[in-house]
Amino acid sequence: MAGFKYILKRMAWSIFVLFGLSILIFCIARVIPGDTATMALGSTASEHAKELYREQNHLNEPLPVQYFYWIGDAVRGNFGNSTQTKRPVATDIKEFLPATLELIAFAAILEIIGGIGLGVLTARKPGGLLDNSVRVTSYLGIATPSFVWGILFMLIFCHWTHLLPTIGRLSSNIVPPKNITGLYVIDGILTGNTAAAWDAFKHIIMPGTALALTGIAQSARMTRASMLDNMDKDYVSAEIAAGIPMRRVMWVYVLRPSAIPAVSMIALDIAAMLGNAFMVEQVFSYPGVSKYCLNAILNKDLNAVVGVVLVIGVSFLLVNIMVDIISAFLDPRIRLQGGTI
Amino acid sequence: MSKKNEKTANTSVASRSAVRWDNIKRNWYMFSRNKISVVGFVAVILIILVAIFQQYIAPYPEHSSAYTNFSAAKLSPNSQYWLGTDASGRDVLSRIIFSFRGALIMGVGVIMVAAPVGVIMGLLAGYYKGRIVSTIIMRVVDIFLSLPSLVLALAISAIFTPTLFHSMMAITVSWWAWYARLVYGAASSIRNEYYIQSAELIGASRKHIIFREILPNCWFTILTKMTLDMGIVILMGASLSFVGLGAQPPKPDLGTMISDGYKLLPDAWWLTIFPAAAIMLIVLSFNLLGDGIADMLNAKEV
Amino acid sequence: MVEQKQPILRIEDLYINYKVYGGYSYVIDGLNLNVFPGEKIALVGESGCGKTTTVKSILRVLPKQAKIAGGSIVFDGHDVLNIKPNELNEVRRRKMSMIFQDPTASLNPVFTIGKQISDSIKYSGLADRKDKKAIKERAIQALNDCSMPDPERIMGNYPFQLSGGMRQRVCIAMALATASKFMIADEPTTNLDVTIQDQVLKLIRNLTDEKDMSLILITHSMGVARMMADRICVMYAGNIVENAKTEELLEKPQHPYTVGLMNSIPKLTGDSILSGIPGRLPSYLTPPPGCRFSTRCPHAFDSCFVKKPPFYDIGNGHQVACYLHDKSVPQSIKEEAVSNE
Repeated sequence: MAGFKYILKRMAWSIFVLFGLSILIFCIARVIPGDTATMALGSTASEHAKELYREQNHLNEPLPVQYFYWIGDAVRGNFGNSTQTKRPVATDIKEFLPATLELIAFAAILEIIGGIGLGVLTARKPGGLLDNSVRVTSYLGIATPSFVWGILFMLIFCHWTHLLPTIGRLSSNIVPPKNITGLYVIDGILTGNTAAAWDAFKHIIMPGTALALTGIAQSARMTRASMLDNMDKDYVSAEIAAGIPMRRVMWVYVLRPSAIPAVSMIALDIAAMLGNAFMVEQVFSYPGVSKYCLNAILNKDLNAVVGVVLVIGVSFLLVNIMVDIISAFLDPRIRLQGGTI
Repeated sequence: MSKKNEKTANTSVASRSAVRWDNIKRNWYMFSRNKISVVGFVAVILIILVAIFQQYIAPYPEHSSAYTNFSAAKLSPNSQYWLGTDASGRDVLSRIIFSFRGALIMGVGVIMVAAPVGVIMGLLAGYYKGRIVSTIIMRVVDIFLSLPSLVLALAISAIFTPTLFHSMMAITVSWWAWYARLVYGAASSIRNEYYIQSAELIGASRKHIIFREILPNCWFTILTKMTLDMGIVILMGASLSFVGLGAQPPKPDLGTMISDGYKLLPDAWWLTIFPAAAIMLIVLSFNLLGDGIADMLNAKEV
Repeated sequence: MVEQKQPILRIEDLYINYKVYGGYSYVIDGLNLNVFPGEKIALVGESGCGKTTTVKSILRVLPKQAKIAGGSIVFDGHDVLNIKPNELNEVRRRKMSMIFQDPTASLNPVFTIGKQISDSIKYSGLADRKDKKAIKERAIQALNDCSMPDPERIMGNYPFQLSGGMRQRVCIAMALATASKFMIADEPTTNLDVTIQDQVLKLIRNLTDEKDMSLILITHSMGVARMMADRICVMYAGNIVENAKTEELLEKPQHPYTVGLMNSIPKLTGDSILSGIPGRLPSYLTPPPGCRFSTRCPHAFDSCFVKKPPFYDIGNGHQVACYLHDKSVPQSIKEEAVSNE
């Protein structure tokens, strides 16, 4: 019960944070740069057109009033028009978001399985062959930006061996599956269009792995460290002394308390993925929302930037809430007593 | 002063420096137990030296700016240009060497601003835990952390003209909150220790308690994060310049070099691979050093 | 008499080192100890003298930095130091158990009490592994034996929901549920309130008596030792210095360290300040070459600084490791040493 309350409390808190975030983003978009109208319409626009634009977008009002107009629109999903695509930003996001979600979800699943699995295996024999090779690889994994991994994969698997498709979300000869969730792999499976699903899957292997590598390395090391830490605890001695088999002690008794910090770490890694997706999507010309936003940044298309950044903020908050639920499931102290925010 | 007193004073100074020396030796032992940390330490020193003496180390210092020699363009690695040449015929090795300074400035600059700001915020919030000041600070911190750092940095760069300085600023704005949260956690638990209460009981000032009692006890945590952050911040800088939001050509920058190079794959592979390896090397060295320092500071009594 | 039987545990010439800054810490220094079936032994000594290290070596749950450098431990026919993992687990499951110092640290924080007890019963082979009902009954029985109120409810609780005394009872219940011959209790009451201490000690005493089990109890309190043990072994800096029946040792302590220890016990009457023992434990990095107590001993003379004293049997099973009991040392030297006090 306390755990349920705790989650509710966190959700209420998230809404407050989201409100704060919107102010921060509004400030970035409106306060710092020069004339918004000039930026939106270009320096060649006539003074009359600019004035009209200001009038329409309430730019002549004081800033706090502007904010309320803006947030009112944003809540209704209206982020204004993109200067690049000349379409409403919301429409653009709706089109490009599923691709990025698919990519991040793939990378996150890869990280959870790979990171925690490797963490447990290496903690079993610290200093062993597997531990040392994972250690070296993880150092490289953390030290290399994911866009570099992406480029390396592209070089190896496309240019040299031709195993995987280079760019985009689907090969040009494949018709996208019927839109249900927007995730091509899932939609392909749901509609029985396995060819499309398989092709889409092949397209996310490289960018997804490039995004996940750093996280795998980090969460493997985190899991390993907290496993080793917990293995020094008296309760593990007690469990071993009671004759419970080592494998069970490791995978059940040590893993569960050790997974709690690893799970919080994974939330941070997903945050890093949301950032790195900008570069990786660029490398693979992957038509996701990050690539869209990157073009918007480079072209000073502030409405689009603000819209996408808010969407990313919301997604990250959702990830955090999910992590809270998982942590509460793993840790009875949070579940039964309710943690602190 | 009697002679006897003088003598004891001298020995206490001598023994204090002996203790300090012993501490240094002990820390070095903790640090050097892991040979990989020593490798990281040496590598970082080398990188700093290269960045300082770039002018003398680079084979073609003039290639660091807008130099063109199209007759020598896109040469693969050879005895004259060890790591090959780029599309304008500039030596890749020289440009990599000249980019080290920017990477280090990026890392040091961001941390030197973000850490003090974050630490002071964290200390205040920790000390005044439960009061309105603390709540306001930490809520603002939460807002800054509610967006992935790289995304926030990208969004901020959107409103500036891209330069190294602006990308540093963007990263700093998205980075200080991490220090605030870290120090807040440490400070708010230290605040309840008995030695803080006893300092309050003997009438120590707030300033004394925050900076002389709480801060020294967070120092190890902060230092560990600072060394580990060097690598992360350099990576973020490289990411920003990769998408064209960092230092602008013809200034040599690893991220920009990769972004120019990968369009020429798979033929001119050296234009991508070597700058990428350089980033890896810098970040790896700082990570190894940071891990060594973390091990040293967190070592259990063994 | 108990002494005629074969000892169930025989530790001979045990050496244990820890790897530390500046080299090796020579903690356990040629320790010998015999425990007979059904015998209750108290291992007494100040903090850091190696009591816990000694008992942890019996169950092979030493921390990783510790190396057993020599000696042998034979328990009930098993050569514990050269045992196969399966056989070791067999010993841990069926024959021997350990209660740790801190009941909070020795229970896994994220699993219910029921799960933890059931698992040790499950692997002890005392109940069919698949017979959940039988396992549960045995677990409840074990908790009942430790006079836990409402064991059914306790089974569903997590450690943090119980008081310290309750947790220690759970630990005892877990240890006793599976062990049949031998029990090790490492300062089981140090972290408990005085009033709870007494209950817990009585519980351990009664339950081990009932099953006719041997017990090694670690404590630094002579009072606890007196209440619990048939025989007291006094440890100092990695070795046993005196070993005698409880009454004999308390009435006629022979080793200067034991005498000092007895003088350190605060009395409820009288107002003199305790004499205690000056100085502190020697460094284990460079221990004194002779008797390790020589640096603090008021009676030390030449031989004490050169060679480690052997055990001298002074009758009635009373052994002392001190040159003052060597018949070949001239009386005059001993008297001089004693009068130096």
